[in-house]
Amino acid sequence: MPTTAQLSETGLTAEALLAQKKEGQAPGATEKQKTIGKLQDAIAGDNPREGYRVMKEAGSGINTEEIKLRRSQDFAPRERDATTGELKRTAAQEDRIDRVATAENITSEYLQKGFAALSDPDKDYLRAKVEAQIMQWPEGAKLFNSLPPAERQARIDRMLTTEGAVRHNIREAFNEATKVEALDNKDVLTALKKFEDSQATLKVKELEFNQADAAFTKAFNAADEFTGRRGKAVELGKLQKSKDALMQSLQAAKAEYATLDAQHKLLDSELKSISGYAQNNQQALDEANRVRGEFDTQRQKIAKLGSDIGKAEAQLARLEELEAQKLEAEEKRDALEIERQKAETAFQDAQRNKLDAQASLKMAQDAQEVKENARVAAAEGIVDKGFGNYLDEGVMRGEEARKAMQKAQMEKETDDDKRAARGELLDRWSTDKRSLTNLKGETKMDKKQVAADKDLLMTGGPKEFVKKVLKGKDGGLMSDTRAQELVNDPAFMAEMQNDIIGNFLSVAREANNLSAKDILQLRKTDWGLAGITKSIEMRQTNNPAEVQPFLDHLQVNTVAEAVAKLSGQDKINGTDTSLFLLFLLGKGILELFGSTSKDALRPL
Amino acid sequence: MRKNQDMPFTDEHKKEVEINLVKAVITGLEKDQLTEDGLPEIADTILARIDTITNQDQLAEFLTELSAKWPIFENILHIELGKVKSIKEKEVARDVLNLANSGNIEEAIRLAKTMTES
Repeated sequence: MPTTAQLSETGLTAEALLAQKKEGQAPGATEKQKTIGKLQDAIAGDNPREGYRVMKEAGSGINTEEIKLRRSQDFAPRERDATTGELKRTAAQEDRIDRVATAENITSEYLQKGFAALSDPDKDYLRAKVEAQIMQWPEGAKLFNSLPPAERQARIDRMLTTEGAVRHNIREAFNEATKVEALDNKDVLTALKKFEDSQATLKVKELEFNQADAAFTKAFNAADEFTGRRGKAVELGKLQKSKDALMQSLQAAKAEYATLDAQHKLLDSELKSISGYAQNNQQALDEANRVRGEFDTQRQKIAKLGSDIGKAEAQLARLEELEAQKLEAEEKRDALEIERQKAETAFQDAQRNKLDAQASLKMAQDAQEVKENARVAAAEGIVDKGFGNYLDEGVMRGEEARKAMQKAQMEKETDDDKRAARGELLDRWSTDKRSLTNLKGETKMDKKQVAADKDLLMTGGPKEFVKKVLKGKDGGLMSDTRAQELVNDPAFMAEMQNDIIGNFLSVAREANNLSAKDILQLRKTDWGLAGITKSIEMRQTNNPAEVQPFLDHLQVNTVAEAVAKLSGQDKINGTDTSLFLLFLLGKGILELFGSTSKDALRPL
Repeated sequence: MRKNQDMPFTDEHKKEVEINLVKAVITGLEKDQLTEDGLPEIADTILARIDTITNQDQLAEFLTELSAKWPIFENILHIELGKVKSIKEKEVARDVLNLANSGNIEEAIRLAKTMTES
């Protein structure tokens, strides 16, 4: 139970505390409620150190298990293992999930436990990411290159350890990378199923085609026996050729046979009538013997004819048989050829379907790879993005001071044209529109507009630039005619030109879109020098402590004196004058690296 | 009169302050004066300093810095400053009484005035 002192300190009753604790432990409790519950436990245990531990781990809102599950879903297996038949991850997927796990685990450890609690390799991972971001900014690179490695690391460690804004931005980037819509590999699995089905169908169709092909080949060969000079063809040809002669000889033989048979019957009757009295009559006996001899001759002829007829009939039967066989073989061959063609078409269709399915699978896999690679890039870019946003926010902090100054001037302005111009200077280089890169619609530097305006200023000169600003960002602030009139009005330009250019140079410096080379070009013109002076004077008004060290360094009293002194020389105490002026315009990104004006004054 | 730097920061007192710091964090969370994002930084800041404090002056300095960054700790600062003041008042009262008892009335009145003016 909490002590009375504890109750009075928090102003809550014992029931309220207990209810709160229960609420914090309830399954549906929010992260905040859970944190409060854990802190209450630490107090109840008289263990404030446990409370600090809870505090260090709080706020990340990170559910490690959920994130791990999400990773395994995003890189779900989508390749068939040839041995087991189970789905497995590809080697590339294994590599990707490892990379994402490394990035997410290190970042979540950092967000949950703080930089100090990380292992040395994990610290190095974060340091490298942060340093890479810093080195992308020219001043950051110059500053860090001028620092000894230990100091460089100390500054990065300090930012990662104590800057809540760094942690906050990295956490936002972490949430963005891990809580977007889950990757879905349904398309790949559907394509894989189609491909596997097409492979199975192809196997069946291939088998069916091979069977049909074999049957056709057999039938073709059988039919082929009746073509060319093959045995059956020759036999059939001969029989067909002799068919008419055979038929004629068969008919003649049959006719002769009939004649002989009649004669034979006649002789037989004659022989029977002679035989009765031939025993006593030599003449009759001789006649009987002659008739018998003739009868025997006839009988032999008949037998011979019968045999010839049999042979002829057998040959004709063989002919019929061969012709029937040939017809049957040809019909079978033709029928099987149709079957073979059908099977071949089905086989070719299956081959085409397999190729189509294979191409669809490849496309789905490629599309999935693009998504998976984007997932890897997002995970590996968490720290880069978070730290980058931290730098962007820092840039916007500088912008806020300038805007506040412009707003105050605008509100005092009585002239409509000047008021409109100052209003344009307020928002021209900001954007708060929601976009793919700005989901919350936060005010951000419109770097594209800054870049476009700088090009116009450097190439078109002050009049073109001022006219463009007067017409407004969307072109609807003033008409072209009115803007031209104002640009041609010496009184208007005398008051507004330096303000407009001075404001822009401040913004361009904040946006890191102004180089020493640009300053060198501006220094060669009166309007450029006047714009630089105005911009530095604005900085001096907003934050005199930032400008004073430079004035002291130059041993001058005013910004105008400083610019005049610098404009006549190329180097000042070993530093390029244009670079010196650039730092005088603003620290830019250096401010975010825990830098002071000493860094800006450091010989670069 | 004892100076604050002579007033040791005992382990018991340290724990009491630390418990109050955690309780202030709870209150801050409940009243949405803090977000969970900021908690690690608070914990790091406290842990980096709390064990180096050896006397009440250092504690007051630490709590002042802490309160400047996170106003939720102002109450603890006031409580601690109040304790210092209370101890000082008791000591002065005792000194005033001693001076009065020894007949040094003018000095006793001057000393008493320093407390009412502070």
